[in-house]
Amino acid sequence: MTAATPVLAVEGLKVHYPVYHGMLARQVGVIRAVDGVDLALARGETLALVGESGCGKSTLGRAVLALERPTEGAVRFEGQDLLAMAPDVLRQARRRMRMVFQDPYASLNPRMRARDIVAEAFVIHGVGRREREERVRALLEVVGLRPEHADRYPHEFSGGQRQRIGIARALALEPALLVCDEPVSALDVSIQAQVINLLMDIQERMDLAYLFISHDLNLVEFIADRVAVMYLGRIVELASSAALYRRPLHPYTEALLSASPVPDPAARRQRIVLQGEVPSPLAMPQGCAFHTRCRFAVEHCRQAPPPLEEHRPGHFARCWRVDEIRDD
Amino acid sequence: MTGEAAPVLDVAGLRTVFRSTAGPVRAVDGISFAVWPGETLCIVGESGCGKSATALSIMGLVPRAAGRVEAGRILFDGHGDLRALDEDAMSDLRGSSIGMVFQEPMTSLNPVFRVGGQIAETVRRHRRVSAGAAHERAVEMLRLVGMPAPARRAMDYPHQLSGGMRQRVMIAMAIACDPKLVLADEPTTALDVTIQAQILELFDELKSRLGSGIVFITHDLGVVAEIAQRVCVMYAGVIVEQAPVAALFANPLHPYTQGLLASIPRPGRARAGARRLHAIAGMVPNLAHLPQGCRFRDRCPEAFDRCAAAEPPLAMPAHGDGHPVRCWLHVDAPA
Repeated sequence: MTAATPVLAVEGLKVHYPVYHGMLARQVGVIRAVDGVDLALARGETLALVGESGCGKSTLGRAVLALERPTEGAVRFEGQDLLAMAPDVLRQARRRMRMVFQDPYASLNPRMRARDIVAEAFVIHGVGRREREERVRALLEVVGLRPEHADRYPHEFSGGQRQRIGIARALALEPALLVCDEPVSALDVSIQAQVINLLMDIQERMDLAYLFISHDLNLVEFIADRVAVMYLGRIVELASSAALYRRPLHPYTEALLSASPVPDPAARRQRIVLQGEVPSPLAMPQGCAFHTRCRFAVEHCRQAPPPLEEHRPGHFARCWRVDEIRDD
Repeated sequence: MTGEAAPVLDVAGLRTVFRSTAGPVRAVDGISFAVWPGETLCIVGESGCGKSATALSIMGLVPRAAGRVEAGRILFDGHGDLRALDEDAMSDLRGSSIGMVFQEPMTSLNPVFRVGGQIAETVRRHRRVSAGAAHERAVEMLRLVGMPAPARRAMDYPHQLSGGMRQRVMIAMAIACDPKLVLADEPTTALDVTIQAQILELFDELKSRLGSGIVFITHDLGVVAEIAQRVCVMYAGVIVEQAPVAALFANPLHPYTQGLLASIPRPGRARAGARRLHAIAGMVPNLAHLPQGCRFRDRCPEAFDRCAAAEPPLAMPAHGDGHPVRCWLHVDAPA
């Protein structure tokens, strides 16, 4: 792997689910959960995936870790295609790409002590007992838990502490990539900041790449280097966080940002309230998938799907009318 | 706040105790507030602060096996103290004069009845109208809450609707009998931001249109900034600060409110500016093991000896302009 090889490269990824109906289980359609996504993520970088529920961001996160079988496309981890790997090679790769889940209540085994939850990966990957104990102690310290916490069970911890255990578990085998799927949205406001700061500290210390899935647009602006906006299984805009929030190009991004509540009652609001809801992924609109809710849509948008194009350096958008509607 | 008119809801000294394995806990520990017609009062706080218990107490819906309202009065719109009403009288008020909207509409709607029928049933339960008139009212309400094709949607079952649409049905049901008061407990928490924006706008419209008072319970300060006229900040069962929304955000007085406001990421304040979020130390308190004195003191960066000695009262600050706050920093030291 050269210095320029991204930690993660996703190429033309599609995850389609067939839909069956009736006694003969006839296939009546297909849900295009992820429908042609390209992404690259560098060492030490945070790329956020945002979009409404059902846009495919969590499916994409799972496919990246080879937890979903893609219909098409490639996922390269440090240059190697996960889908082409032999099972034991994939297992080695999985040591270094881990997931932090949304719900720290559901993702920890209630019958295991904190130390055993964190040490499980060491056991699976054959680390000796003495080294194991030493490393568990170090990991708990990294995530801000005290040594005496090691012997407690998940129910004895608060939500924030449980998420810390989840993070310690993810860090156990010195990963290069963490997929964080809504890692703080189940936590109290005053605890979210602690966990976000912890994730940022760890990233700096270990040069980790984060694929950060979130619906909290204010948080994403704070934590992400780049942001990918998804709509119905596709990326509709991809840019640096600064550029995307300052000057969104896609009408969907603009509407999404304007809908996000601003914690300032004096803020001047220019809200673009999107009409209607996300169309069913079973009945995808012809042409641009967003045209049914887009205030700029014209006939051409209803006919042909637009490509994801680079409109400014490093700033991509999937819209026919960017040049007309963003004339600055 | 309208100067002359009487408040639609006037709560004083409300205390609600729940049973727990660690003994009785005061989920709501002596709170007072009032809501006037045509205003939205937000109650904001974290899990376990007592905000939902407050709503259940007002509605008379604290499960008898779990706990009970122990003290206080709840004056509602000329009906006197709701605590003195029997269950029949209370259930007449619920759904007619007091509308309710909860976080998860799927668990509040009956899955085996059409949504229009459920709204019509609410109407007929409280008003002497024919089935036809009740159905018409249901469709009219669905139209009012922005349901597309309301006559057709009225014939749908809850599972046929999206989360945002179900929440609109809940709101239609809550307002179908022109309530004087709407109690909404985290009504947008389960929704996407685009749908949340639609629902918040709807609440704002209804407030002006119906002139109801709205109690809006949330943990999200962004939502508070969008929708509230006045705000009560709750912590561990008590109100720690009470203010008009602009004053609360511009001049928060309680260290907890200050910490909460500082801990949320703000638009425009990206990585370049601040490298880390401000974090409040410690964790949300366990009501069964509250510290002596001020409930926030073990997480408070400004705690001093007086905070351990006694709990501060909710009072106007001793100096300068302000609003009620529960903190010794704003009380003159005894001479």
